[in-house]
Amino acid sequence: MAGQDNKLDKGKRVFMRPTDLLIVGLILLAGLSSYLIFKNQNISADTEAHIFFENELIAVLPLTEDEEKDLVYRQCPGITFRLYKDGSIAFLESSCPDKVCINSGKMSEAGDWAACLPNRVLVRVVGLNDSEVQDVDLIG
Amino acid sequence: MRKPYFVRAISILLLLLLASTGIACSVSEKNPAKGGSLRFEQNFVGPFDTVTTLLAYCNDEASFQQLEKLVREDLDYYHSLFDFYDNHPGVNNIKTINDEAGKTGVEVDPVIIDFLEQCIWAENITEGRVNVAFGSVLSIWHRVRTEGIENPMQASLPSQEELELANLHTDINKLEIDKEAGTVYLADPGMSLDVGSGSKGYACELITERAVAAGFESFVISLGGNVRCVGVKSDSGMMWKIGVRNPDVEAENKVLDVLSVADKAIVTSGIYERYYTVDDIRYHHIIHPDTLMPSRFFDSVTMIAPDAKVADALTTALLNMPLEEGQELLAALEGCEALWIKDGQRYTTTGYDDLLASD
Repeated sequence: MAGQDNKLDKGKRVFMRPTDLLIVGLILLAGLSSYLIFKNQNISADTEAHIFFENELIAVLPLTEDEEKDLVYRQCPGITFRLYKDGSIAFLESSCPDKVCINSGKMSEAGDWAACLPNRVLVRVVGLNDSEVQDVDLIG
Repeated sequence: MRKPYFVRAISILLLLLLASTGIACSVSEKNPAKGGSLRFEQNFVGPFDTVTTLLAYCNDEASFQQLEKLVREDLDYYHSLFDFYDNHPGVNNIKTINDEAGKTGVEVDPVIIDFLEQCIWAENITEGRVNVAFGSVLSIWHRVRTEGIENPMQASLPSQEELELANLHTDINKLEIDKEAGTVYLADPGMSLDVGSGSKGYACELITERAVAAGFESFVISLGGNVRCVGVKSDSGMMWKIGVRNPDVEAENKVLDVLSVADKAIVTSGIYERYYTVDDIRYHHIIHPDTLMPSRFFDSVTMIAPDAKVADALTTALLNMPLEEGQELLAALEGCEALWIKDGQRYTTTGYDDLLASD
């Protein structure tokens, strides 16, 4: 009995025992790893293409590295968009006279954009992660 | 006997709380809503025949809508003023001045007069490498380019003779401004103004000034390649990061450089968007005033300046002169830097690298 009391007395004075330290360590580890997972999720998050017709959003296309696909929308039937396997999008065909939209080429990076003025169509690539993680606010 | 366990439990709980707030903080750092400053973005397709992007940090949706309204109104108004293809009801614009060439002076908004005075200044300091009175020549190229794109099999070059005849009507001294009367007169009936170089940057700066006067302090307006940054990103105090577009549109990397800036204008002009093809050779829209043919010095030039007026006034001229002359020109101007690209090679002014984002 006396010995047990002694042990407890000791316990009163020591703030942490090795097992507590272990628990604390585990909690910190859990915190750190969940932070890293969060961070990685943010960085590896995809981009998506927003297609606007007369400043109204008509389509959102995730730019995943998938299959090649051609798309036409009823609001702007004169334009064919192409989604490429490398996770990019481009104006493939357009009824416009100047073809500036087609000349703009492929877009894949957040902040990138191209427009077809005669058809009043804009494509913007948007990062799914928010601003702080984004490399570029705007491409000039 | 229970106390130590109680203390331990509390301390572990506290640590747990600490760790979780640590995580929460690290996550919310990436949330622009922090600090009551929200990030908004809006695009305007149409005015100035281009795309305008407005990016701003505001306290709430209502104040962003106020900014958006201001920008939209100004874009429409300045578009009507600087339009040189179409007339707009109730307003005398550049087209009106061109229509009245050799006939009469046109009373215009003082904005047009200030703008044309800047054009004269730009023509002067660049020894004619950019000339607002170059419309007669540029309109020929515009015509053949449009025809060539619509009908690629019949695409053709303008004759040197036609170009030289048109070039007889490009004397900027025949652009007569009467500040007191508020009128502009083209004293040569064969002459016309083309404000494709300079008007977008000029409008961008005026819109910026009005937005700043209305109390907005953290935003970027990009008017078709004319980017004007105001303040820093107010949620984080970080500088704006503006990507410089690669003139090689087929290249993997769309962005050549990332500039880290506050309160600056970044204007890029290039030969990569507007062109047409004749016999497999590309002919773009920047026309050299001496050869009257597309300029061959560079693929693109990006100019960084304290304001968008100056930057847009000079980028065309920089595309029309050798590197050394451009560097010399910019060295004489306060706070101006530039990046030139030719066949993937980069050339810069001495202070340009200081603007690069460090990460």
